[in-house]
Amino acid sequence: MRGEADDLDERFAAFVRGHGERHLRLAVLLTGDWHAAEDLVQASLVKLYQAWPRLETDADPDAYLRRIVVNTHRSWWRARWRREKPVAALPDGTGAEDMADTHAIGTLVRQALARLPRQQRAVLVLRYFEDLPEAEIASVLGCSPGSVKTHAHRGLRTLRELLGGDWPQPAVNRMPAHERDRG
Amino acid sequence: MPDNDLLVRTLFTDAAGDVPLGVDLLHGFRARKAVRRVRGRVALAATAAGGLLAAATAVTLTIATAPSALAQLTSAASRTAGLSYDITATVAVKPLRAGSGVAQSGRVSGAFDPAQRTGDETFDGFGSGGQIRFIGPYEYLYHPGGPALPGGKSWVRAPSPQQWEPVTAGQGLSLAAGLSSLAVTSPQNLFALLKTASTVDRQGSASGGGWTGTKYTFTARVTFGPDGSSQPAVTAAGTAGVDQQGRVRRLNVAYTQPAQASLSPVRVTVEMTFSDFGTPVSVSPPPASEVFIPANIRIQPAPAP
Repeated sequence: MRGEADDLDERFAAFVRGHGERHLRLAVLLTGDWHAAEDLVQASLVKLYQAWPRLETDADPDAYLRRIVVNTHRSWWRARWRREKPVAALPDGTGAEDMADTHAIGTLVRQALARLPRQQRAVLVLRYFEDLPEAEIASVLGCSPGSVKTHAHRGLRTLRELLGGDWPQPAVNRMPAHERDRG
Repeated sequence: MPDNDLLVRTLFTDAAGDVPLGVDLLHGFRARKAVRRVRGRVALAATAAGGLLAAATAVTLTIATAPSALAQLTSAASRTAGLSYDITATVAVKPLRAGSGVAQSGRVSGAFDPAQRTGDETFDGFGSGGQIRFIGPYEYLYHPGGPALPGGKSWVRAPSPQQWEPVTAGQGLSLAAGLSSLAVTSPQNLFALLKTASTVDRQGSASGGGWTGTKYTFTARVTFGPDGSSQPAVTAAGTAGVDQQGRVRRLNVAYTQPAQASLSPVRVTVEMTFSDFGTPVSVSPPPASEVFIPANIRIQPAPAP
């Protein structure tokens, strides 16, 4: 006979199937590479599974998991688990002008993000990838909205410098006028 | 949105776009039911012969194989079709035979609330413009430029039984035009179409006012008439933009509707955008005294899956 634990597992599994990739994408922007992102999401899902039975029926598992991913990454960074050493510039020969396709530009952007201070990186990813408002970013990171603004401003400036002083043009996003939303 | 903001969003979307294959989130999770997790300890068991048995297992979760583009798009269609949303659209209908009619086009704006089974569209163009109200199993059409109605009434009620019903893969979709030749379809019909898509490919990033995400191309089978048997099925092709929250934000579809009775074949193109998710939509039917209900139109049951 199917038990409560089986139902719980099925719901959790369904959530992971439907939403896991999205958090993997968040994780790669925080960590800079897919292997580390995989580790981060794995660790976060274990925590989510442990908390799953206690989640309120109207809770948003996505938001909860996002918070776990960001905070787990922060604790890893503090423990120097990944031995991250932010540097001032990318290695030679990786100028944006040499990159011609989406994959290359994507790799460049990940590498540059990985060189930002942790808090600036988290703010930029939550703002520009997760589309979160400042107040929610502040709640996730446990800082003030003013700090979020400061980190975003400094993070964008540093990221742009790391990318060669200008934003690389996305390879496939030459949106013709009629493709843009009206209003 | 400032251009830089949009550019950065697109760069981040691209930077997270090339998810590697072979990442299985659920593989170890399924094994959880058959293994016991021991944290930092080894369980010892002594057999009659004095042997030792160590049982130490750990839960491991590896990342799920990245969903296919088909799965992602159909999932987005299902999700969006369950939300309330605003729409804007342009619809164009072009006769394919010279001299068989006049090309028409128009703009549509409106809102849909599948939970309430309501929706409304206001359209201009198509001669004079008008309105369609979707309420439960019916749609009410107001089209001043259309045929004169008996009794001087101004609204026509027609059944739209498939408006809110789920569509299963392979079932096809009826895009019946109702009583008008406008071929204006509701977005719920388009989402149902999307859920039956066959060929789906990711085409990089997409963006719009306040969102970024992924662009897909797709084809899907379209049938006509209440039970899909009145005309040969055709293939619709289009593109869809899905945002980071897994919602369809843009849907462009084109298909050729074959000749039907006295109507010549036409090429239909629909370009639709979605926004403002989650706001309830309340729609009231027009006064009964103003509604004409044709006697020969009956609700057709949805095709069996």
